[in-house]
Amino acid sequence: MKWWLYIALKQLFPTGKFVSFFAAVSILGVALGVLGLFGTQSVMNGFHEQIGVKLRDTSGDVIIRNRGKPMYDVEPLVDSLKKNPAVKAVELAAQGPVMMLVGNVPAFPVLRSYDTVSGECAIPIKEKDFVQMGDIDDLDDDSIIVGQRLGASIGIGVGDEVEIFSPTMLNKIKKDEVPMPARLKVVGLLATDYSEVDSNIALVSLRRFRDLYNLGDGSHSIILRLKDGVDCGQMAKEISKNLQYPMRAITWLTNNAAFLRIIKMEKVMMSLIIVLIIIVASFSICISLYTSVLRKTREIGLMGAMGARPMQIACTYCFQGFLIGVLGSLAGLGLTVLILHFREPIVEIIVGREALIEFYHFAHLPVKYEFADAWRACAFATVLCTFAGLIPALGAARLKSSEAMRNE
Amino acid sequence: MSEIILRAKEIKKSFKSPNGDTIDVLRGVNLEIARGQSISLRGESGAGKTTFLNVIAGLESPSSGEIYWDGQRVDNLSNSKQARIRAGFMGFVFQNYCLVPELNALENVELAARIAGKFDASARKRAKELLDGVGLSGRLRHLPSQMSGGEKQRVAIARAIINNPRIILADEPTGNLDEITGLEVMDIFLTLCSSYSTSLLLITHNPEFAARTSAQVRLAAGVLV
Ligand SMILES: Nc1ncnc2c1ncn2[C@@H]1O[C@H](COP(=O)(O)OP(=O)(O)O)[C@@H](O)[C@H]1O
Ligand SMILES: [Mg+2]
Repeated sequence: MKWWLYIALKQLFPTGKFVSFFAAVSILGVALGVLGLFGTQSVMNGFHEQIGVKLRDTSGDVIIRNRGKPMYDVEPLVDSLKKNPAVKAVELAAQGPVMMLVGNVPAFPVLRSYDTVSGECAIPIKEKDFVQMGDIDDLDDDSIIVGQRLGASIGIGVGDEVEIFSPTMLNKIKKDEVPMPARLKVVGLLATDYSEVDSNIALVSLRRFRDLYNLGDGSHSIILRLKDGVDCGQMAKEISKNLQYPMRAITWLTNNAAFLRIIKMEKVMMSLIIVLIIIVASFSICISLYTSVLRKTREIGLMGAMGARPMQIACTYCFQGFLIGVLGSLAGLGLTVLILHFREPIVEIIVGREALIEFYHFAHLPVKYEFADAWRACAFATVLCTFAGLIPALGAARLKSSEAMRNE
Repeated sequence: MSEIILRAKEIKKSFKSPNGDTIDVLRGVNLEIARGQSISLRGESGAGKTTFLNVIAGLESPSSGEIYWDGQRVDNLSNSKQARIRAGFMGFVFQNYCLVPELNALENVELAARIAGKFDASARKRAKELLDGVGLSGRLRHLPSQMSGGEKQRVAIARAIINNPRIILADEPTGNLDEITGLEVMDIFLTLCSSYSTSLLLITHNPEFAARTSAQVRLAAGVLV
């Protein structure tokens, strides 16, 4: 072993002691920084992925719209899309806001259609068991499935009746007709675990929706579910080519671009703040190593007298910084995985489950480890710690043996 | 004539004092040390003894003059070249023992061998023998903080000898020790040097110790007398 490596190791892990106080504290400091950075990033990745899955599950993969206007006579298009081998399901869908009255308690959910006749559906209601306390197959023209949180907020459950008023009923009022609300019976609760949906959406049959919205045979969108592994963007582009203006196919990603971007940005901003922790940690390493150089002036001088070259003396200190960086990073990664493994009870204690659902739309804290994040956090910490060692190293290398040994 | 291990020729050294004047500390010092010879150097405090030692050790460059180690001129070599030669050629013992606090006695002695690039099993064996020789066989694993001043200086002596240097430069090695301990340490030191036939330049205030070396010189007014 190179002697300067040996000295560096001995200063961090002195003979007769497991680890020096300085090394322990420094490694812990770096580990906490890496924990903060990598932990936050992993949770943000988890959010991003989870929200992606939920958005996709609740909005469909590719959506064809007609600038918000109803579309008619799209059956040939639907048939041709169904023949595409990359497509799993094609759904004619309609949706729009309505007023829901329970007694005299109003709510303003967005009503979404479900084609009870064909059963064709582009979102995995059945596969993922989105309907609780009932079944999607129970839905008919006189019933409704309401979002779980929506139901809870106005105090209704399965078996209750609700009255639905649609905006188009205003047209009847203008003609001095009396609009009659649709009386629908709740036959299930929609529980996607995505609060945006669970607190805003109610499902009715397509026929009922068309009736409420005076759509005739029309619909608002054609929603496609693609087979696994198919590139949504590519598919949307291809479909768009064969569509008549102003019809357009967009993907769930474009549809939710702003939201997804916010999450990405949140990750970057939080990372930037936490990076400061690692910088602070490296400052204290720098100061500690520098103090150690001052404290050891005579020993360093003597090493010089014994034939140590300035470069080697510098390496002793740089290597200490480097080693602290590496060990701190590894400890930080370990800590991250350990702590995130027990994230559920921790979150419960610190913020409570309700806050999680309220702010992040999820009941569970998602985590996704990305190798690139880990790698970047470790590399950043290690480089910074090595730099922290560089200043003391240069100080030590500049010491003149003759002067160092005169040092009192 | 016996082989000259170290030769200093017309060494001059002056320092700039903080207020700008130059202080001439060494004004033309000549010294030759032969193989196995021990020389004591005395002088008042501030006479320039440490400065002279630093200069001939290559730790400080002279203002003028020539230095030869083993017949090779070294004052015109680069610092790192000097360092490379010095590692195997010279040993040091200082008033402040300068032991590395994180290393135990044995490791401190071995460190000199490591720095000289000569560390192996035989070096370890030799380190143990040397510590045995200075009476510390029972304290190989003691850290500097667990040893007395005399014990620390004995470790430093073993460290100075491990690389089998041609010469040891010692700057007031007993300066921090009480009389009796100083006597003990000096005894061990001088015995070891002569048994390994290592040359010695010993800076000391103590006339008794000085008397035990084969030659005595005094530094006064920047020259040897
Ligand atoms: N780096 C320096 N700068 C200026 N003066 C110095 C320096 N080093 C030593 N001196 C001066 O050189 C003189 C000799 O010092 P030193 O060699 O330590 O004496 P000794 O070891 O004989 O007691 C002293 O007067 C001291 O002030
Ligand atoms: Mg002195």
